[in-house]
Amino acid sequence: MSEPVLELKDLAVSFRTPKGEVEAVRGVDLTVNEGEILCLVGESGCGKTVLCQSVMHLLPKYSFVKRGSMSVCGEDITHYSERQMRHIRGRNCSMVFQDPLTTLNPTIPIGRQIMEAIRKQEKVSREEASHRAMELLDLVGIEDAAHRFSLQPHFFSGGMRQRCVLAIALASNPKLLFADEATTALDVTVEAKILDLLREIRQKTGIAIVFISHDLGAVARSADRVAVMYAGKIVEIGTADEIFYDPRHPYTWGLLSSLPALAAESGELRPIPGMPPSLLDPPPGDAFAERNEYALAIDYEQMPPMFPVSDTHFAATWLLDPRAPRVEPPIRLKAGSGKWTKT
Amino acid sequence: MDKNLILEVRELKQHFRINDRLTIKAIDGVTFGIRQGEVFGLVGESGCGKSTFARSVTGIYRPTEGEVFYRGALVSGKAADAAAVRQRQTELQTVFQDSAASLNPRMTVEEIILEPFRILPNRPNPQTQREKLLQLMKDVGMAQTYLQKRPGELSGGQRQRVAIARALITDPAFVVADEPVASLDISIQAQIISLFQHMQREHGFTFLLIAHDLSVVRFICDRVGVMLHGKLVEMAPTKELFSNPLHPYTQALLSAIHVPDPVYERNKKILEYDTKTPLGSTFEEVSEGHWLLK
Repeated sequence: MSEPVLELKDLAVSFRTPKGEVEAVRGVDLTVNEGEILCLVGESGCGKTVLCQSVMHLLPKYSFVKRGSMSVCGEDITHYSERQMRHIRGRNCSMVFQDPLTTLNPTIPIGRQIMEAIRKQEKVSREEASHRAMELLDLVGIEDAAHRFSLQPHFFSGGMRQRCVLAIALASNPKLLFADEATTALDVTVEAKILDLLREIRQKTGIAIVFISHDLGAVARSADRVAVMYAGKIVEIGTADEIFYDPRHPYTWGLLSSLPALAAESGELRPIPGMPPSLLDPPPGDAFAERNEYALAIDYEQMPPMFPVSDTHFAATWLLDPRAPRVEPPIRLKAGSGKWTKT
Repeated sequence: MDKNLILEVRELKQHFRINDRLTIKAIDGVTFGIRQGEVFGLVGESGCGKSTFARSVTGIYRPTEGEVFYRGALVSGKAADAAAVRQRQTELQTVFQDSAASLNPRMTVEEIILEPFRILPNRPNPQTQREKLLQLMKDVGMAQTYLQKRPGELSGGQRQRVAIARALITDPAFVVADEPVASLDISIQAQIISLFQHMQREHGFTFLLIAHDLSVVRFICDRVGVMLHGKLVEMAPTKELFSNPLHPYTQALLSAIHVPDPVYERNKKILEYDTKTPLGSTFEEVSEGHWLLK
């Protein structure tokens, strides 16, 4: 068993706002192991990004960790100061953001931007750093690196820029990489290449990757494990196969059946009705109950615990309680077929 | 000429001159037609000229070269038929990608949705307008309490619903939607797509959908055109295009669609297409309804 790179225990993060406290993350337990790609999926506002940014300590001042703890590579960093975090960021964990246009400095050649990341973490000579930067460009699949080393970002296409950002994030050999919607802004063909690149880098360096996305297709391509988030909580977690072929939470059913890619054959889309609840005043029970056609009376009163389905698969829904009525998922995905059938 | 065509373009070109040395050829010779009552999907990667095409045929841009016909009458260039241009104005409605930018922040939802009536030559009386408004609000799934709100108070999905309601209030014959769901969440996307599908079946308007998400296009469209570098490289009925793509670019594009199925995805091979390959110059019908750039 490999050592966990990231360990979150009952982590809750809130924001102080003029209207009151917004509970963005409401108690998340999560472990990410070495060399693993974990995908976080969910609608916008469900706390995916806040979760990652709180680990990186990138959240604004009016946010605070309400309870719980987080540790990276066995080190508890919950209450680390900005100064202490500087040693963690880049060296232990890095982050790639959604928009490759705004993360790069438009006036500095990309080679120098990568060198900067290397030299901030280690004392190396200029030559050594430029040599390493060149290797990184090779690693992220930029051809003719020597020539492109001295070009500014505007010479590059969106996909190439995202590769450069990735090179900067990987500059000091982090153990953990957060990729926050890293491929959302890209075209499908480019997106597929970046996803494959992430898998390849994982193979070469053994880095653990937390990949945030709301595109379940991209998730299916890259994930080892998938965590589904809703209203600040993980509602279901399991291996990619378990989540896609044997989903247990009604919210996961809803997500899968609202995908046009899977509905093409049946010609019918089944969107989830309604909107996610406001996290200013979250409901006492299951936050999804209001939009859930399978909701039980207890869902409105009490939050469901994580029920184990297998060693790796957990879901927070009262439907898994032995006393609950048996409910068949509305759709079933046959492995490898690329479409769902109604049950 | 095919009488059923509501919109036809011939050798349409839209060039943007940046400076003496650089002219962007956003659309570079496109010829095809959209039939009355069909749902036509236009796909391609960013920068291929999809949005420019929408803007050229709706009259936002003045085409550089070529002709645009609306219901058989010329509506582009100096020889345009003024009556046909006016007819297009009143019958055509657009839904834009960024609903935040396309709704006036200082108007209420009610004012926004009723505004298109102002350009109708024979608009219905206020009573009928109001009835239509309430019916549409119901159709797009919004409560009446939203009528007095302003766009800033709405979420992205709700704003897009308002934009759709605004487009449909005049019972348009032709709706152009430029990436209407690209900026929305998956579950909201599904709601909006079903809404479009439902409304199209109910009102029977012709629908030009511009999208980069092929799974959406596959789900809702009757016919699909694939654009690359300002040219149409392939056009066919949806089923035919997805089962029998002929152009290597279409094949590469289709192979890159992500299917939310881990086993399928792991075994899938993505085809490569070098976009620098020179494109052919003749757009030919290779089989019934299936056109290919050779």
